[in-house]
Amino acid sequence: MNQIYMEARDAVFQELYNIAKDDPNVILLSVDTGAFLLKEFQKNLPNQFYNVGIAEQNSMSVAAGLALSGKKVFVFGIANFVTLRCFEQLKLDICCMDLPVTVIAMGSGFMYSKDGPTHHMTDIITLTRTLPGMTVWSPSDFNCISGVTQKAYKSNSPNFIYMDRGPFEPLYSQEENYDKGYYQVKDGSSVTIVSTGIMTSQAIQVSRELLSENIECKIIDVYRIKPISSESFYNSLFNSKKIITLEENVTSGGLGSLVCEVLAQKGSSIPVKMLGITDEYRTEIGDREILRSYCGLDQNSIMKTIRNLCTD
Amino acid sequence: MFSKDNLIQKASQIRLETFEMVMNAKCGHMGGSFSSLEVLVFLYYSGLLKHQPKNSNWPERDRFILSKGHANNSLYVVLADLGYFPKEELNRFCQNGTFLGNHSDKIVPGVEVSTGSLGHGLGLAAGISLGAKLSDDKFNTFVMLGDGESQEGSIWEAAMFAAQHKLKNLIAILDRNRLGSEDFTENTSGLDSVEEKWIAFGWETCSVNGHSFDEIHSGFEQLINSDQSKPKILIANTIKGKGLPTHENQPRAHHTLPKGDEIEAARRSLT
Repeated sequence: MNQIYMEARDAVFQELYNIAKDDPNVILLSVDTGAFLLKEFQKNLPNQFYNVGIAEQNSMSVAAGLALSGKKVFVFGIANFVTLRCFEQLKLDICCMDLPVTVIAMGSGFMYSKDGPTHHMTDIITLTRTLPGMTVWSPSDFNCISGVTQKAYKSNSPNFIYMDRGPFEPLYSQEENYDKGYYQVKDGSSVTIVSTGIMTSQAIQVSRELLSENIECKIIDVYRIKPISSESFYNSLFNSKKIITLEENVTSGGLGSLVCEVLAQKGSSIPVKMLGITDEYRTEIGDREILRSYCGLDQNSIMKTIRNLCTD
Repeated sequence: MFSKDNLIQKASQIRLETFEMVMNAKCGHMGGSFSSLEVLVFLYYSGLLKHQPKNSNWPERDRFILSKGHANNSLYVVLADLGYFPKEELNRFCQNGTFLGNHSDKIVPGVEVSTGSLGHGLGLAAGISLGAKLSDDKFNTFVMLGDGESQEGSIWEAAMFAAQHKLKNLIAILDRNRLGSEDFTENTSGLDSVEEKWIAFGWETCSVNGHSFDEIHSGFEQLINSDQSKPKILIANTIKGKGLPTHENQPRAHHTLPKGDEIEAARRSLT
């Protein structure tokens, strides 16, 4: 029986701890980023856990080197820093040499809303999608986080897990195999919402509210950004009247772009409204929902956009 | 074990063959390839580096990482000379469809990692060394750094990490030719006193003339036989473009090829 998790860091690190206990070749590197369970690693598996200090570039090169000597390596840090600060190491040391390294990037979109633009991770989907060979996970609930951690462990190639601490609407059963890359959360005929990560919870809450207005939303959760089967993904979209994409990522090159690329390649003319982080830095300080409201990503704005779409 | 005379002869052969390969391709980085050449020849021909050309993935081999990946010109000539791949392939260096490009690539037999963007090799080598230590593997990891490359901050991140974890199985070589791509390092972001910097970062150091096999030999001997639990670095003081009279110790040595009368002058000097 798999474990049920109620906290994102537990979901990934308990799962990893269980894996590492049985496989001494699993190594976890932290870029001086903490989690309660990392203390367990430090205490009980001292040869399998290293805090490499505040050195993202080196953490990725060291991870690649460890992988070259036969280890399976996980690197944990705050999303911005383990992506932007070391993007070239991700690309050249890990992806270009196709090494079994998994990056666990904590803090999607505006999760660290009050920490300012240095901590807002606004473009991770856009960037990681461009890395050949990288499998990019954007899990949307706690079960999904633990499930894709197992998938990453079983993989022999680079993986990137883009994490959020939630809270999440529960979506996935413990039996889900996470092979397909996306999941139809619910059916609906008025509009199709395609979302990823924490925004799928936003989509579910919005669709609940809109039900009383006779607006029925179909919701598709994309928990794996890459790779995705265009054929299969298109089949899940093609009978939609209208599509709205939701992501806490800039709209350029993100989930909305992915949907448009798939539809365009098929010659589809389904209208798509892309909602995401707008093309500017958010220097305002506030709760996550406040920052979302500046980009039209809060619940009220999303509902308004959907109402407009449905009456157009 | 090669004698010193044999090493000198081998270095001359590799330098000339590298020159001909690059001139044939009209593309290359002879400056850094020639400054690091004696150390490279010593590693591969003196018996210091444990390796098996016919079994390039031999698990017990020492790892050699050319962090300054643009100096691969002479490395490829060495690898071909040793039989990692047919020597005829050198005629296709940088030509359409070859696997021998202008920076070090893992697809080439004998090359451990892809390098070319600077500042990556020491971290990669530190990871390999730590992995070996954890698995109780006995091989050493050698990594050749450039001094221009050492202006990258990632080098110093890796330097601290390697010292922290007492990676005594990690042996770096700094090709201190004092030149970057366009200018002398001391005119851009100066590295002097570089040996003191490495000592301050917790490394065991030895500074040598990087074109003298006697000094390279004694330097490696001192470092490898040391019982200190520190990573080690051989600081090889070298001349960029060594052997090319019109290029030695000049910024143009980086990737400007000899032209006109310089070509025959270079060939005469190398023969």
